[in-house]
Amino acid sequence: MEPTKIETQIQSEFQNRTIQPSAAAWDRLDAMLTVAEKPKKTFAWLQVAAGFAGFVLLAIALFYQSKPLLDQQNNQTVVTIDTMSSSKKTEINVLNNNEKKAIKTAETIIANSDSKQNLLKNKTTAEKTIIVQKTPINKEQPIVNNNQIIPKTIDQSDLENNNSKMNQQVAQIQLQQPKYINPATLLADIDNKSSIQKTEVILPNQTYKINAKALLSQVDGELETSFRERVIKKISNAYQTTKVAVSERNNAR
Amino acid sequence: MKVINLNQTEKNLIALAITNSRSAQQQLYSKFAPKMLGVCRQYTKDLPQAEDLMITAFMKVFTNLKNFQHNGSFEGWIRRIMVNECISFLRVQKKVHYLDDENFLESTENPIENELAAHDIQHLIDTLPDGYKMVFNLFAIEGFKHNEIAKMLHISEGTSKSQLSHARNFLQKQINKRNNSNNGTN
Repeated sequence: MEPTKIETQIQSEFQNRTIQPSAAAWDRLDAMLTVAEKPKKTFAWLQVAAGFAGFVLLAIALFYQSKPLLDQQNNQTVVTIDTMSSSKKTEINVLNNNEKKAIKTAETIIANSDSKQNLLKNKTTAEKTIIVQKTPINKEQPIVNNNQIIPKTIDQSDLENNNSKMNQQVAQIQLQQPKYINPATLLADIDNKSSIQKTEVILPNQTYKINAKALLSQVDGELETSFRERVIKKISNAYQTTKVAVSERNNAR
Repeated sequence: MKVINLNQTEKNLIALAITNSRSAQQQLYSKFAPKMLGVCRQYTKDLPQAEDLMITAFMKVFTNLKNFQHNGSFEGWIRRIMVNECISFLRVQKKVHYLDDENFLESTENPIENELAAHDIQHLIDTLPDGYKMVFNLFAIEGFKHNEIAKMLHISEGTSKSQLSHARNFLQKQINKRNNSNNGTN
């Protein structure tokens, strides 16, 4: 399809046609060029800062996700310790009370034993005096004071009877009187009993029991992965890279 | 020597304009703006609209001046930018649609042979519908081939040919009408 005559004419006419633009046309173009040539604000630093902030937030979120487990483990031990401490306090109070009671009983026992000893002494002295008094009158022996013991011949049958009676009385007294107990041994017994009670006491407030395996795993976890340390390392590395990038950008400008 | 000097001058101006020298840019604008406004006027009968298209196109010229590789003429490169700007305007703003009637047969009537003045031709072209006008301008005035026009307008080559035929017929009728009216007055 070739161009016609009129079309060639049109082409020749219009190829060189000129129309003068208005005076304001250049002013408008000048304004548009001025706007286009303004240096665009680079928000590269903003992008870097936003990326760094996003990374920090992500790290914090991951850290706090793992924190409840740690807290739970810690709480287990903490709770147990607390309960133990409170129970310990009760135990201590109980022990103190028990000890006090034991001491009191020991003292009373000692007091009783002392009194009983005194009684025994008196009894022995009384026996002795009785024995002294039971010396035969027939025999001419000087009568002495009760406090003095005079070896003289004694009527054996009477002595035996008296002895048996005395023995019976002494036995009765000994039965009535408790045995002398050493307070130190008594306290030691109480301590043993309390130690036994310690292991048997059931803590009402305790919700977690001490799990040795958990403690060990916790320690192992702290030794192997210190998640906090890893996060801090990553953050420091990111900070260093951003710092270098910003300094390079500033130097380039 | 003068041509060489002119080319040297134009090259120097282009080099300065790349560095955002406003004086160089203004000199280039003053040199090529009148002709480019005529190009834009072919595609729209509204002169202020044509001026807006020219300014927008010159903005693209100065923005992409560093991409000019001095392979062809600088004027032809600017003119191509103007044409593309006008085509995009008509396609987007006026939403020109092309009827695919590839079976349209060209009229066998006498072709246009009258010599007309530029303003008469322009008046006749202004009466063309936008679709016809674009194909006619690209083919008859800019000298593009139908395959090139098809690529530029995203139409088929057959549609381009049919559009041109329609444009020619329309112009022919307009010219005949004009001639009849002139003969009638005479």
